[in-house]
Amino acid sequence: MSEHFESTPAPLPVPPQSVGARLRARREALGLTVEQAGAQLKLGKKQIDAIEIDHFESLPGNTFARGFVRNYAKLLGLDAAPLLADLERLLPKERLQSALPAVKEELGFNLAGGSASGSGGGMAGVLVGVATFAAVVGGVWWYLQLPVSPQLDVVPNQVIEMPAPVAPIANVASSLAASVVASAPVAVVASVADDRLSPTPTPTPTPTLTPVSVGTDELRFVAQGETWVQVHDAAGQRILSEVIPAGGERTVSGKRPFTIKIGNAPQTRLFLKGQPVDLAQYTNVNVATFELK
Amino acid sequence: MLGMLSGYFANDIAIDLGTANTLIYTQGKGIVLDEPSVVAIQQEGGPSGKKTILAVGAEAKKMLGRTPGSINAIRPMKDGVIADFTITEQMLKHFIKKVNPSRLFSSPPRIVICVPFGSTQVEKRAIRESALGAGARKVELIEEPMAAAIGAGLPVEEATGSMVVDIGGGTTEVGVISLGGVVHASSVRVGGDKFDEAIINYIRRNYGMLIGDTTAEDIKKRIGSAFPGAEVREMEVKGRNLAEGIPRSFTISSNEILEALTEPLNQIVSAVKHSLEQTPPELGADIAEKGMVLTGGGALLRDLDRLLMEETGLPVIVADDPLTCVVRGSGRALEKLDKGGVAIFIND
Repeated sequence: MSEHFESTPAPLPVPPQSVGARLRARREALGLTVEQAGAQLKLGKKQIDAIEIDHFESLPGNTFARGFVRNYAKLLGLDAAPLLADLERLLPKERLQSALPAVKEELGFNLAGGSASGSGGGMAGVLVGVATFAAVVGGVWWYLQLPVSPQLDVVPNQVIEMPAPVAPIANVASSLAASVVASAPVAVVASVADDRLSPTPTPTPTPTLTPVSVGTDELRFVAQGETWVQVHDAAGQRILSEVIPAGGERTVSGKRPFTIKIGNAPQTRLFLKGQPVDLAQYTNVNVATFELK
Repeated sequence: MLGMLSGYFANDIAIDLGTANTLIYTQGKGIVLDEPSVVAIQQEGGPSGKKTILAVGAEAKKMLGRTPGSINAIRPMKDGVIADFTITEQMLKHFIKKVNPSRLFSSPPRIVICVPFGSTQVEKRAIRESALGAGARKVELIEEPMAAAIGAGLPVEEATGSMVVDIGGGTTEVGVISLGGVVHASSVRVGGDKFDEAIINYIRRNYGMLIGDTTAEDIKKRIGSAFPGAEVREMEVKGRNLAEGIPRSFTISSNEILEALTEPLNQIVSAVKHSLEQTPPELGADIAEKGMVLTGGGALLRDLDRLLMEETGLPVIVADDPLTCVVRGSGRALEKLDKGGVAIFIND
């Protein structure tokens, strides 16, 4: 079922069976039907099915997905710990955020709902405030000669302040990438004092942003009927997991080999770098599970 | 950079002041303290003599029931609320000092502290006052079901009903939460302590033996269960024979403990059923799909989820790390202090 696209011999049958598959295998070994398991766990057939095909997105949330898998494993007499460890990788990451941080934004937004136009200005104010604070703090830290280098992840803020004094003197030579961020403040200075800067920043921002997809391959899914698709890249990162509506298209790029699951393979066409991939050889009933080298 | 700075200056803390254990969470560091809510006090020279605190927390718990006349090991919290105001304050002061040693430029911490749902004004005030007395700059109260739900990772802010059952040492809180607020909640004064008490009473009645609180707790943790299972476990217990007055040992089985726990467990089940009856139908439908989440130390009682599943016919799951759910939830609420999200805190 899990043949490789190219003719390399498979050392492992599949990356050790998925969480749902292990539960299903164990349930079948015990001679339980989905309905019987559902009755024991007080879960619906749909929920049990979702667990067994690793479709955890359809469960009410990560907490519940973990809880249901733990209960299911307990019912079947399996050790829940390794299953839960594997499950962590399958759970949608964005749901982890849902417990609280979203509330702040929503609450703030709702409260400010009376004056909808004010919210944009408020956001800009916050950004300016953060930038100013970072600048002040950065200055103090530099003055105290504390090690600044580990805090590189806030670089954009530091970049803003650096070019300001430098620009009038060295703008002829410094058509560096710094202008991506600094273009706005610098432009004000430049328009008054020096017009040589204006042609320089225009070419710089565009080329810096383009060469992103080096060493990656593009996958394109075209769904003729509604289908569920999941793709993991070489690092095991999930790069796509969603239901594509009929007539929809999705394009993702990542590093090969991809591990791909397609819920409704006969209705789906897959292109790798524009070349069609024959799904029929991987398809079992409706589902295609395979690795694409 | 900002994170590091705020980490240095912020000393806000969240406290789960529980009947059995007190947990403290600080911003940026997570859970920094988890100790039993027990204080040992030494009385010098007669009943009117000076009282000094001998030990607090785990050290004091070891002394429970093993103290000579001059030392008194007490649990200042009872049934989820303060039973001894002065000692609670001292205990809090000790814990806060332990996690938050005073530094140059540091101001007193702001504290989020949770209270059982349905605490009276007097009880809330007592908790607030004792936290202020222990050195807080500002105190915010949060209801336990809310904190437990946030800590368990439930989607509290969404327009969907979530049910949480927090079984603590002194109280069991059942809460139905939707859109960041408590829709319905109830609190019954049954919890781990009542389980221990039931075990002590059972053994006295059926074996004519007297055992202590610590032994009862140990029995509950090792062989206690809430639902008859396939496997029967046994344990050897030592206590004082009431008739002879001599310490003896005897063996007790998990089935007997199950029988002993029936009464307090029934109270929890009926609290859950009552809450389900009071839940608006739309939220009830959400709960029927997702089920309820168990938190608190009581959730660790073997097969309690099974019992609730059979009694209610709904899925029941145990939260990850149920003992720390409430304090983790209060910690998440701390983050809201600065952002104006005061809806989840309560006023007294």
